[in-house]
Amino acid sequence: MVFNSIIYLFFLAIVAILYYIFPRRIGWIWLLIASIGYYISFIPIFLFLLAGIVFINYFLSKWLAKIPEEKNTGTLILIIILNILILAFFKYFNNIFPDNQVHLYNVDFFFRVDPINKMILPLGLSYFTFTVLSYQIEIKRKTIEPEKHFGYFSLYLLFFPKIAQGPIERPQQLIPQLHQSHSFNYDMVVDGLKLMLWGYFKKLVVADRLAIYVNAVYNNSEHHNGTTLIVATIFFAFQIYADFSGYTDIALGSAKLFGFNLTNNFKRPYLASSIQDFWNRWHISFSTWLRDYIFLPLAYSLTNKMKKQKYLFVSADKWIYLMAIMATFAICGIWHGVGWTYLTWGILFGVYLTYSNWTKDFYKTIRKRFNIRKTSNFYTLYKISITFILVLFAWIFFRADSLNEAFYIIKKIFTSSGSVFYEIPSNLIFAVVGIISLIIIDLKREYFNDRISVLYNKNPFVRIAGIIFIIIVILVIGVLNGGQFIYFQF
Amino acid sequence: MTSSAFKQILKFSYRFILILFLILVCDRGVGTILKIFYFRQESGVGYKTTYAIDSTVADVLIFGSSRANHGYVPEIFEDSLHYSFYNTGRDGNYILYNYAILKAISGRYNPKLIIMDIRPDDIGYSATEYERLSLLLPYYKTHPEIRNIIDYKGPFEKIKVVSAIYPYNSLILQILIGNLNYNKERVSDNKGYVPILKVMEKEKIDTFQISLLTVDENKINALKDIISTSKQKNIDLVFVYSPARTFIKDNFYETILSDLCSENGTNYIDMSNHPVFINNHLYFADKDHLNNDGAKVFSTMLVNKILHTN
Repeated sequence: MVFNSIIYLFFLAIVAILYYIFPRRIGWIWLLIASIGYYISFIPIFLFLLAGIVFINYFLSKWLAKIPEEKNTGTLILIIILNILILAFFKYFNNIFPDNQVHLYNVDFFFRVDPINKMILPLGLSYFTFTVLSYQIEIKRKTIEPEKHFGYFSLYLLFFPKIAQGPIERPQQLIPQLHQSHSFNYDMVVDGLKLMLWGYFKKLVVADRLAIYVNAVYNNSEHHNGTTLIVATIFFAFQIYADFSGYTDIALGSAKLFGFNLTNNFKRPYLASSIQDFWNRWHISFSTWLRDYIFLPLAYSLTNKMKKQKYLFVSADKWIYLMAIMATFAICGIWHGVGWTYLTWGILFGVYLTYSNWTKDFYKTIRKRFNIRKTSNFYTLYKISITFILVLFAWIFFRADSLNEAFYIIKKIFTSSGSVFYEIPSNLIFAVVGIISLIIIDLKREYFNDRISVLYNKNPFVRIAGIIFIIIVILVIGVLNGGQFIYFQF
Repeated sequence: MTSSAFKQILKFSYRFILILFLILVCDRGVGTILKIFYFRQESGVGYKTTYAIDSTVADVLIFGSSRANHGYVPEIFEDSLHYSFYNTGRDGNYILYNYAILKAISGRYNPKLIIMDIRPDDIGYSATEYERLSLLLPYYKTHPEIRNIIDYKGPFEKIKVVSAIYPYNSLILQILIGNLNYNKERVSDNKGYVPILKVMEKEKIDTFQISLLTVDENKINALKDIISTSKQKNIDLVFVYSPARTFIKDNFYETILSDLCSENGTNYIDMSNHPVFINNHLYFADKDHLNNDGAKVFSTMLVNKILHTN
């Protein structure tokens, strides 16, 4: 029951209607049942795994909370290892045992049974594990008390809008909302539906349309010239953005129907003016997780260990930044999957950020020398373009099947020219229309905010016309038999 | 529930129903326009499918995917067999699509000869093939005989076609182009046959191993039904594996297909590795498709084989 299936819309409608019919005090029970039902619609057996993790972590968190802060590091490390081992077991099982044969069955809503012969990663386990870890770390830091109510704790981890692909919710953000009573709030529900509509537009009109072209090119890279590979890489950049942010919008919108606010994961990432800025705008719940639980503790710990002012003529803080950022982004890469491509993708961002950090003063001098204002439009455009190109280059590694293929594509981009491949012209035209609409909306939100708005216009006729227009566009040019969300696999 | 929440629910319900109604009105409007122009197409793939389903009365019908579309030359069949001819082949559409077209046609009249171009691995499972059944959605309401085939796409097709736009999803440009005379001049369509004029570069013959050996029971049942319908209606049926420069290493699918044909007394002609074609890349446009020259040679040889078999 993926978000882009019609059954999800029926499911959501039924869950929401009953949620507001049931007495408020049992709202959480209904949401927990719905979340379990949602998870069962994928591979039911993995629900036992998740239930086990919830159960164990509930008691471990209580135990951790009882230990004084100065003595609880070891316990936390044990909890982290336990959770990471479970994740690693499933994530890397097929790599450790390439010839494995498992006998799992996927049962769908119509009781059709599909055999699964290879181990697969339980849906959402990566997001689930990172949510658990943030909860345990916050308890260790004594910033929160462990949740006493097992039901709320379970719902915090299993809440269906976020279980499959995040956002990775911090306990401070979601748990207090679970304790509140949520009456029907017209504005919030309407806001949620609009958000979902825009999410569906991104997924069905932009991402899935671009996927057709990107897959056709990247799956046969040897048959395509450099021009086509550049176009496919640009398309992939927008595909993955529209796919993941579209999913997030649907998740956030779904949660709003029940009165919950989840963390927004995206803030117009391709308008970022630096790589650091990009990571402040891309997969925000994950990047802030990495910052707060890996980068900052690591940098702090290195600061305590590196006592000299300089090492090899370079100041200690620059070395600390390098080590902490490289470790952080290596983990970021590994989190996404097995294989050198993801690791290289992560490390590449580490290199970008280190370069930026180490040359900060140099560029400051250059700007001063040539009297370039940091706020000038031209300079902003230049920075946005450079950032986009760097991100684009990294996406090649993310999308390619192997490092060899990634290097082959890069080589071809620089050595082979020709005309752009288009097998089905309408696909290309729809794809370009999708990208342009995405860019226009992002530019509007970044620079004009609420001055021009269709879905949030003061005039109700404009709002209604906007809603109907988007729905008609989805029906006319959306890919209605499209596939899975990209970030499901992580 | 508080009275304020109840008022908000009423307000929401009223507006939701209003918007739903407006969406339905717009959907009907846009859907009707798309429908009118879809069926007014005079060229292109959509037109070809409509013509095959609703209009053709040819004696010889070719079914298959792109290999059928580009491989069977009408004049050769017409001159040798003295029958009228139509090629219903459509790029990227395999057994289930052809089954639906044949079902629609056989409800109208009985052709004399059906040639079904098939590659043995066509009987394997392919999710894409099911997705492409959406090309038949414009005929869902008007041709009940093919509904159950389109329903293979998924359990919700019945609900989705409530939308008048849905059957024409992603077809807007095709419909636009199909209504322009320019397209008629651009794509040469000779009784359904679309010749390819380019010649492939000399390359090694490609052999490959199919990784997933899963026979699709829906397709086997479709083939069985095609065979039994042909027998009932006294239509000659021939399955043809036309020449290619791509070969499947194992014969898992081929055995199943040839067994199916022999069990049911249906002709199966395998010309995939015929020496005339294997040794001449000039007959091919690419590894899987004959060019116009190759199609002429192949059509002549196939007609001779059919004449000798009968």
